[in-house]
Amino acid sequence: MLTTARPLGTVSLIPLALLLGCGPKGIALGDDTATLDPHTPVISVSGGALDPLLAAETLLDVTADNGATVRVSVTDAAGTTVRTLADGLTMVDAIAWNGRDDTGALEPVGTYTVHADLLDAAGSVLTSTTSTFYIVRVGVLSGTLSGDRIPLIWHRNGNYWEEASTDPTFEVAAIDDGTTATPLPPLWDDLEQPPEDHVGHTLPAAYPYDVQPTITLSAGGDIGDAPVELEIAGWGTAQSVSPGDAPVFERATPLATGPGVVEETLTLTWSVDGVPIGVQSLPARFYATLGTPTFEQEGPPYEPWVAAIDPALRAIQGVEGTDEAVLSALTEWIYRDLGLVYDTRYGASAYTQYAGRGYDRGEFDFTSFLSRRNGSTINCSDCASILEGYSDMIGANLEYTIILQNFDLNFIKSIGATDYTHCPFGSQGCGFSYHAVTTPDDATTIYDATLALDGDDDPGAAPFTELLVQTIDGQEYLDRLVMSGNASYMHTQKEYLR
Amino acid sequence: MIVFLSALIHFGFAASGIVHSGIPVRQPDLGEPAFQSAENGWSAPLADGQGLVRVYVGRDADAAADWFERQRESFSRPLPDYAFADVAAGDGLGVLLFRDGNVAVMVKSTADNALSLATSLRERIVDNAAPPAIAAMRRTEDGWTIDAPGAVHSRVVGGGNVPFATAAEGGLIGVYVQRPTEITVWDAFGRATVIR
Repeated sequence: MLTTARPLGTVSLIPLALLLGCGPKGIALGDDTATLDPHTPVISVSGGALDPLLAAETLLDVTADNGATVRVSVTDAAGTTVRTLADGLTMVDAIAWNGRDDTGALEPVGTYTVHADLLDAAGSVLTSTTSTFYIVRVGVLSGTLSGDRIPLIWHRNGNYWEEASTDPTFEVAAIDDGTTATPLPPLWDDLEQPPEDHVGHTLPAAYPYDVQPTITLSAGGDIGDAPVELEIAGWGTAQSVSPGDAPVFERATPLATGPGVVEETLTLTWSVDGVPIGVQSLPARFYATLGTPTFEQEGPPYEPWVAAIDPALRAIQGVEGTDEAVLSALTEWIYRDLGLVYDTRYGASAYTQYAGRGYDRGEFDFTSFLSRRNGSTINCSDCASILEGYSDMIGANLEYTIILQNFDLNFIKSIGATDYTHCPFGSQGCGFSYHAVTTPDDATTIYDATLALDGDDDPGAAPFTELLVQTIDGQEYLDRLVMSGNASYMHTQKEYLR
Repeated sequence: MIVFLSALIHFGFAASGIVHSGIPVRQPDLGEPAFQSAENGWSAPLADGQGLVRVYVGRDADAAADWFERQRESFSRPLPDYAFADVAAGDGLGVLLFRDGNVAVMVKSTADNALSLATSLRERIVDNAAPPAIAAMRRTEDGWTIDAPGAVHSRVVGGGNVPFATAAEGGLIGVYVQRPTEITVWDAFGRATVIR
């Protein structure tokens, strides 16, 4: 038991902090004593509630004056004294109670009464007061993020597990094991392997970045008659909660100002009569996308893959929430940062094949690409597939388009290269038989992560000014890319994912 | 109860040309196979990390010839003809693309041994194997159960929340809460069967 001392003779009602680390608040039940007759014996006690598994103990604020000693005890609803907290103390300011009786046994959930007596030197009661005290057990059994939530996919070896947008974000088997409160589950960090079930993990969730997510919690526990409230910091106001309730909280602000990854800890504060009695922390990861996926098809695998959007959104974190900004950022990320190198020997694809003649129905083996299973040497079909795959998952629409056929090149700096050349295949060739790029608008605008153009007035000769292919007019792109030969855009279409 | 079995891409009834059973998908000098689609076959990195093979087993030689041409046109630098098998392209060093009957193979090697790898793979072509694996979908109390005796890999589109259905002993490949819209299964020789 903890007591803090103040000499008898001083008078105050100081709300004491609960031993929760959640702020100095207390419940004051007695009268303010600032105008007391100095000869009137006075005692007051305050303190409201305890969840013994969320907080080890709570402090009862006891103030006394004009007496000799103090006695503080707790009775249960039947009037039986279950704990004597103080008897004969001459100085007291706060008394801790851990919710246990005099034998050390934990008292059950219920309503209790704290009795405080001020005694004279002979042990006679000068005055008494009481305060209601609640022992409760609170907790959350599950939580489901909703409100425009985009289903996520975990993929492995070409197979997919798609969460339903109504699936719980986390579950716990029970709010406690009888002696210890169950902490809210940690984040599921595996980007490829989903958990076997929802218990014991908090899954990430994807939303368009300008959405205010909501979370529906499932309250458990036992609170008796206590007026319990639950609040999530930054997710609206406190709500009255009883076991079995499903309170819904909405994030007070949109997820982000643009695409990216939002990682935060949701702080759940339980309180009784406005006084915090316990805090639980829920780790959360939100993938803030530009919008819903822009694939032509729906359902797995045409949803955001956790293993794909996690690094992509981190890479473009901070960009403006527009298609142009996102596509430009993805283009630069792929061109500069993924360690990819153009196949200057054959121009062979490593991850893209076409299921139909004439570059029809491009199939991108995104699964293998993510692990670089076939290496990092790629060609234009791969770059177009990679860019389209990431952008469509994030919500920025792209299609691949094929530039045909057999044309000679101006100077380019292919992905992974350090120098400009107009003969990417050296002595074996100074042109492309075809070239795959991406477009959001039927080749009016081009994005290309395969190469950088020469951006000056003469793209066919040195010096070179690096021009990444971001939001470039389709005709300008051809003018800068092609030195000679007929080149035109054909076969614009969406890719297939594998 | 078999609910439906349709749109079967069947093997062994080619209209023309030699029809092989395929090439075993697991080879000591190849890495773990990745199964692309019924139209594009399977692929595997070389075990030494110095290249990649793609293998397509068509229902007939025409289907393999179509795959061969699709592969060939996806090279940004045109591949020259090469004298090997029924038809081939490449230089025999870093790349060799060939077709033998209904089997077509692309070998890419940074060790410049594409010809020897292609020769070795061609020698591993299998004939007269058992019929290809076929998937069947049954409605059960738990949802939809897919059985595919002999399948080594499957890809299920739709089906709902079942973590990673994979081939298992006895051919059971998964129980799905929703009815899958497409199931592709591959057998040990790389033959793909699709039901929709």
